[in-house]
Amino acid sequence: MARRDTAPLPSNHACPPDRIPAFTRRRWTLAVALLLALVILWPGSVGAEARPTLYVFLHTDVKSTVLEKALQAGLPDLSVTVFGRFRDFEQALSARPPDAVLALQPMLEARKLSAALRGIEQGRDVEPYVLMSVGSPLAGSLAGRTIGVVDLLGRADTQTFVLALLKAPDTHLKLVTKLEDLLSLLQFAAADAILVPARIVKSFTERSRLSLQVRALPDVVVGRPAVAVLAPSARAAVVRGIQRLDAATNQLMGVESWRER
Amino acid sequence: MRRSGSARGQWAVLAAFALALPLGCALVRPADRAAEVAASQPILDPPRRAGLPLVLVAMPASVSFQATRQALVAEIGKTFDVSTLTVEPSTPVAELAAAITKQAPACLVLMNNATVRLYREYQRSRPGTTFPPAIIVMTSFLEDIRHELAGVTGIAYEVPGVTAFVGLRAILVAPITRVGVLHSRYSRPFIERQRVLAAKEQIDLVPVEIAAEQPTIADVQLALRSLRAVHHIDVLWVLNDNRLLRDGPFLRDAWTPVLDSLGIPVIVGAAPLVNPDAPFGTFAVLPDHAALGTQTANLILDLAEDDWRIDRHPVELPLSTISVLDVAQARARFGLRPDALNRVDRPLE
Repeated sequence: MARRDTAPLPSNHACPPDRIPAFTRRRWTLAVALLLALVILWPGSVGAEARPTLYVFLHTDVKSTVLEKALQAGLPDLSVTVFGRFRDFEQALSARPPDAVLALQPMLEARKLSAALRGIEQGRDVEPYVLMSVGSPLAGSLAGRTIGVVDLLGRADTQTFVLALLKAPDTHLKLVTKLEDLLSLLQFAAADAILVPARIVKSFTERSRLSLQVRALPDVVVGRPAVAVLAPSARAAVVRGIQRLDAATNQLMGVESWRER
Repeated sequence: MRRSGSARGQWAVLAAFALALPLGCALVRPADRAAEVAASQPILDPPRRAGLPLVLVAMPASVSFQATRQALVAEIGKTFDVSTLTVEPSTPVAELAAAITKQAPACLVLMNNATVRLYREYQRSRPGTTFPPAIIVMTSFLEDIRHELAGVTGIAYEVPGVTAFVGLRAILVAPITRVGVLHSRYSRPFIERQRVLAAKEQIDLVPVEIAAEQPTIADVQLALRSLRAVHHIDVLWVLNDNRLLRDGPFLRDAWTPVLDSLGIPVIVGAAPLVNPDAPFGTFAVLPDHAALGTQTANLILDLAEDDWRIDRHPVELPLSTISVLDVAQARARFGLRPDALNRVDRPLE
C-alpha cells in the first residue's frame, strides 16, 4: 500500500510549556511506550517497512487501486504495491527491488525471474487470448492490420512477444497503457482489432454497445499470473500468503488457485 | 436534497470552480494555467549522447505538462535524446527558432496553445522552408487547427464524450441514452465529432448551441431547461468552456440552481467540479497526463518507424483517462451497479 508518514510526534504546541512540569517520569514512560507502539503499528511505518515487499504488475478488469486494496487486505504480512503502467513498474523494480514480484509469466521470463508460484484456472497455468473487432468478424491474414495490445513488457519487447504469439510479423501493433484503453481503440477506429484474454470478452461486451466480434486464436495462449521471489528470506511468507488468498481476490487476477514449483 | 444551498456549499463551489478551469481538461487553455507554474519543478534534460537523434520539446513548465514530458522521456529515452525549451507567454519566436536551428531536432513536441501559436508564427515567418515533423499535445481543438500548420500531427486534448458516457453507463443503474450538451458556436465541429462517436455506442448526443458571445444567466438556464423538457435528456455533459462557465458566481447563479432541478447525472471535465461537499458534477473524466506522455512517445516511435511520413498519421484521440465519482450523489440519486467502484479511479465518498 502507499506508504504514509509516520505518526506525528507531540510538539510544543501540543504540549504547552506550562504543563511540562506536571509530567511525572511514569507519565513520560507511558507516553514513550504509546508512541513506540503507534510507530510500530502505523501502516507504512517502521514496522511495515520490515514486511516483505511485493510488486504487482497485472492488467485486470478493475482499477489498480482496487486490486492493490484487495491484495493488501489478503496479504497483511506483505507490503503490496500495484503498478498500472509498465514503465513505473520497471523503474521501481530497478530502483527499489522488491522481495517478490507478481506478474504475468512472460514478464517474469523477460526479466529472467523464476516462478515460485503459478496461477491456475481449470488446471492450466496458461490462458487463451482472442481478437475482438467491431462490425464484421476479422477474417484472414493479420498482415497489414493494426492490432491493439496492452503494453506488457515495454514497447520493443511487447512487439516482439505479441508478433511471435500471433505469428504475424507484418502486423502493426498499437500499444495502450491499460486494458480498458483497448475499448477506446475500437471506439475511435484506431485499430482493426484488439488482443485480449478470452475471459475479458464478457466484460467488454457488457460495457460497450459496439457490435463486437470475437475471433478465437486456437494456438495463442499466454502464461497466467505467477510469483517470483527475489529475496529467499521472504519466500515462505510470500508463498504462504499468496496461497491463502481468497477466491474473490484470485478471481480479479484470473486464477482460481496457485501451484508451487 | 442534492444541494444544501448553504454558504459553505456555495463557497466550496466557487473554490472548486476557481480550481476547475486551471486544472480542467477539455476546452480550457493550458496556457492559462499560471497556478500550476508556481508548483512546478526545474526541468532537467538527460545528457546528450553521440549519434542519437533529438526530440525538442517546447512546453510550459507547469506540473501537468511535466507529468506528460516525464512519461515521454522515459519511453523514448533509449532511442532519442530529449531537449526541453520552456515556453512562457513572453517567449519570442526568435528563441524557438534559435533552438530549432541549433539543435536540428528529428522531431518537435509542442505542448499547449501558446506554444502552438509561437510555432505557427515561426512557420509563417519562413515560407518555403521544410519543417521538422511536429507532434502537438495538450492543445485545444487540435483537429480543427492542424491545417494551419505544416508537418504536424498529435493527440487531441479533449477527452471524447463517448469515453465519459460509456464509463458512466458502466457505473450507474440509471439509463444513459440521451446526453445533452450546451456549446458555443466555435465548438460545433468538435460537437459533431462527439455525436458520431457517441452514436457508435448507441448514445444520442443532443447539442444546444448558445449563440451569444457572452451568454447570460437566462441564456444558460433556458438552454438547460429545454434540454430536459424538450429533448428529454437523461445525462448532462458540461464542457470546460470558459465562455459558458465563465467564473464562480456565474456557475453558482446560472448553472447550479437548474442542475438541481434537472435530476440527472452531470458529467464534467474537471476534478474539482466533483465535490461531495458542494455537489455539481456527478462524474468527471480527465486526461491521464502520464499516459498521454506514453501515447505521445508511441506516436513518435511509430512515426520514426514510418520514416516520419507525418501525413499518414492522423490526429489521435486520448486513450487513457482518469475518472472521479461523487459516490454519495451517484448512489442516492441514480443507483450504483454492483462492482461499480471497481471501475472508478477516484471514488469520492
